[in-house]
Amino acid sequence: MSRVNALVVAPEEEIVLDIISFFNSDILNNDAAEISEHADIISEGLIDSMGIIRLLTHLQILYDIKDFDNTDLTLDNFRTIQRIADMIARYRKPSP
Amino acid sequence: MVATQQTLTSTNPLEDIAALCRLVRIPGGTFLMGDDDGFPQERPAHEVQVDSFWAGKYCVTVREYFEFIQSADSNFQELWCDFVDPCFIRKRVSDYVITEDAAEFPMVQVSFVGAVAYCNWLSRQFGLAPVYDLDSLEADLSQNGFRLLKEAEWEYACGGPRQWKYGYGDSFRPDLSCYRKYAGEFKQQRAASLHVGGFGLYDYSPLPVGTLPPNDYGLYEMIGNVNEWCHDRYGPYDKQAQVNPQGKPTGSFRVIRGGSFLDEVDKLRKTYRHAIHYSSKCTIDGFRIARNVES
Repeated sequence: MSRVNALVVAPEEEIVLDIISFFNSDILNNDAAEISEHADIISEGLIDSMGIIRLLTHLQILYDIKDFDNTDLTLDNFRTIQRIADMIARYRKPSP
Repeated sequence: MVATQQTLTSTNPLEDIAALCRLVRIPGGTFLMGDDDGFPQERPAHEVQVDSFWAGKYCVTVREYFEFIQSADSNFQELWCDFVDPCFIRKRVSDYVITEDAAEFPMVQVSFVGAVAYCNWLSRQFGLAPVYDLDSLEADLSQNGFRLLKEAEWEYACGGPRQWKYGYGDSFRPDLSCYRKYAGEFKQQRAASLHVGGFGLYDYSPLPVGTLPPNDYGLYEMIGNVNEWCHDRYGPYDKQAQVNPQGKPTGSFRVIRGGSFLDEVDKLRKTYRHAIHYSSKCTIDGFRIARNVES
């Protein structure tokens, strides 16, 4: 999956778009459902624990994140796409 | 008691290690790994070849892990395990103690790091070369010491020579796995029924290792009872055929296999895979040892 062009979007927005892209292709199987970055994806049953692992594994490779701290892997951090993006932004390596 | 070098007695040390550590030799072969009809992480099914290997007949027991904790050269670190109920090893003010009657239950509440630290310690007991670097969690799989089963080895060993979907057959049998609704003839031996380890407060709990019938390779409780840490870092499958795959080179999540006493039927298949952070310690997760077959 290619990363959204970083030249035209802010870094955090880029992460949000990458997550939505993964959601559409790998979680929702391109069923055309629209997903908001503020929707409660846990309560709405859009993702389960293995879906979160798949998403985090994808983001870890995409953003070259060496490791996640287990204390960050809480349900609250995965409740919305925006919260996931916020967490990823904290781990993301600064650009050279 | 775990065997030490002093207890090796026969003229064939490899046979000694296998017997003392309760290992089964699994002959290598080729099989279809994954399931195109399974959960997304089980897809795509793809051909895999594995070399022969040794696999633990049972999950590592509380008694075996406790010996590691107590060993002077284990360098045991408390953060590798949790000691909160329900649990089989309790922490007291200055030491640890096995919960009454818990010795033959599978060791749980142990992280991936705690599992591979046990493998390294056991290797040293037999004069074998440790496989894992406990700081980086990198592994040298060419070493002759103990390790966890690679994910492909786990699935191949679980399926047995005929690669049964459920390990014992292609139809689910509710009496042959300790799962959420287990009500088989041994249900009174579950930890909850025996009020062992604080499980009496819960409906669901594991059986002692070796309670249910083995699969066709002679391995016990591959499906259900407790999940088993595997060696591999989690990653999506490739569709190309693989030879001795060993997981992704980077990542924070390690594969667990087998399903547990908390799971429903849909997780109790040889192809089902999940993953958790390498430092996670759960009441439903244990591990099984493995070794390379020396040429």
